[in-house]
Amino acid sequence: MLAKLFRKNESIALGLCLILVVVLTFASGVFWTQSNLNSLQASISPTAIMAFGMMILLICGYFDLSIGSIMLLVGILAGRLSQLGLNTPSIIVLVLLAGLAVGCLNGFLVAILKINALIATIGVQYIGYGLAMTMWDKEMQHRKFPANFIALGEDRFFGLYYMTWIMLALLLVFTFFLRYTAAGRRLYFVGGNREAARLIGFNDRRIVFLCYACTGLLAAVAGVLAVARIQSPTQYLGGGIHMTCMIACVIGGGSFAGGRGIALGAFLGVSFMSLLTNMFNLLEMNTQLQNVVVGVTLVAVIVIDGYVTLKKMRAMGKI
Amino acid sequence: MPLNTGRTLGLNPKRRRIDFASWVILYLTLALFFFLSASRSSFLTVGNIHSILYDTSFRFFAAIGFTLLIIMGELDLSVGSMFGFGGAMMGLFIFNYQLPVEAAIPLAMLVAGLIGLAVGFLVTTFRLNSMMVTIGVMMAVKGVNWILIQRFGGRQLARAQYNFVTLELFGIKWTILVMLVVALIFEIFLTRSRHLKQLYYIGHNFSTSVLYGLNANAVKCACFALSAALSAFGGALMTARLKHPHVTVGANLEISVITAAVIGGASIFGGRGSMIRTMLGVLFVSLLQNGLTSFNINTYVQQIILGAILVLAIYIDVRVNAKKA
Repeated sequence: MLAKLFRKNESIALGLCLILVVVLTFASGVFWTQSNLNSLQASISPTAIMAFGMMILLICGYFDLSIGSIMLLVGILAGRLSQLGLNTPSIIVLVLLAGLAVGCLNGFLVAILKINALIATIGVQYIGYGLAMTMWDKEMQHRKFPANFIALGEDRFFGLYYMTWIMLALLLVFTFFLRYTAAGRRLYFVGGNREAARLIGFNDRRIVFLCYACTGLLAAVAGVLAVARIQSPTQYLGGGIHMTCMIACVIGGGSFAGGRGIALGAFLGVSFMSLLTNMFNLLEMNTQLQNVVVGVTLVAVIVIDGYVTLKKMRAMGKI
Repeated sequence: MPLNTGRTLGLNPKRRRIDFASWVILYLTLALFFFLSASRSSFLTVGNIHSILYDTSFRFFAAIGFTLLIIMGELDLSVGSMFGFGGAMMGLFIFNYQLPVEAAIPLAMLVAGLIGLAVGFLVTTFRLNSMMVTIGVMMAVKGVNWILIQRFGGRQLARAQYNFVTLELFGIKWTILVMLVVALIFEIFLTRSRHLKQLYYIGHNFSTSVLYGLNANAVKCACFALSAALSAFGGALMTARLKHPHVTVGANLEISVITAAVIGGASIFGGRGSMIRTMLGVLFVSLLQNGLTSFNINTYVQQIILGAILVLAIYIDVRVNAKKA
């Protein structure tokens, strides 16, 4: 029983998180302070919300590099709309629609036009960044959002931020969806064996399209929560977050080959990445070193993932 | 020979006449050129054309290895950050180790080449998706660049360390001449030589080429190393041109390079591509950016346009070249 538990990738991520927590507890005196736990929540929650989207794509065997741009776009668009004097609910609805639209664009390019997922989403990332920055002006960062918008990122319920509750709710929804609904199980079939899934009669194009749309929407939700927490739009929102999400999902049991992964794994992976960042900040290491570590981790994760897949393929006699 | 667009294998040696369809990039470049000369009075001056070519010649170094790799169906997204890495490493060797520039640039290329070799090794041994691996490398190397360049604190290169890049031959900057010569040499070797022709075989059908005894993995490793080293060389030249290492050197270059290679007739499915056409692709991107700037279009809108062109080019590639598996 215990050995079986250890072999699961999710427990690896959990173990890594625990190790980091122990290290941080001893190495830094401020880890368990309220303000540090708050900033941890604020970094885990939006990233985990995006990672759920990334996880369902990875399960289908795809991924999305444009989510960081979607987050930025949503943040800056929200700033623009609040400048125009719209009220908070309509701002939120409009920016979520914008995120959904970019997600649909990704889905259209990848699922319908069959463009390589990596290049299509890099192109969209590039376009989204350009689009966001054309709407950006420097004065924006001094202008705060309306109070009830900021409340989304600042207010608490039973000691946890709203965004943490939203993230936990989505965690439950996705766990249930992936495990107990026919639609969720289909993703594993599409990722595990596309041809077979198509032959059985699954509409794999539609499934992938919807996954991309869903990921865009989740990225927009994360973007709204993140800018609400920062209180004003910033041009640095979402930089490199697609990498964090991808690494988190793979550490949490997903695979680039598709067909594997659960929502809890995404959450644990994100927690690990956020704790890692937290460690860099608390121990006052160079912030750019984080990029190096994240990049090297990504390569390591890809190599290990590739090695495991290769071994499995060899065992199945496919190579 | 399925379609007449782009060179595939030399299946029909008798066909010597020019394949007009594969020179789409030439027509595009010429069309853009004439459009800009007609619409902008400031465009068609010797100084402007020279500066566009000068700009192109730096970027082209990042595109050489990239083209060789895309012919084999591999994509190297780390070229942009390797470009910056060349500059950062050159700064490191010059500022911290007091080496002369003649030693600093080859050493920078060597370090970059070793990283490229490691990437190639990982990709070929574990059969990884090269794009994923090089995205990780891109990120890590970019972080290293930032750290190094922050440490230099804006120090300038000495005059003797940068003025070599502005040398001229017959009134033309030498980097432009090197670009033309290198493109021509690679073009000739890609079509005539046994060693470079095998890239097309590997890209066309990897398993068959291995069965025929080509050492495909070694060739791929060598090309990854070459790609990184040449990108670093271009970056070092660019740094010399700016007179100090800067973090914007090579930023977003990978997007321009992929776009250039793909509109230059290379296919992300492998088996196609040509060095001259990639060079024209790089020139096209430079012309486009020059033109957009002359129309006062800001860089972020330029980014949107370039991203859209990339997606469009890949879409056309998918429609035309996707293997019917």
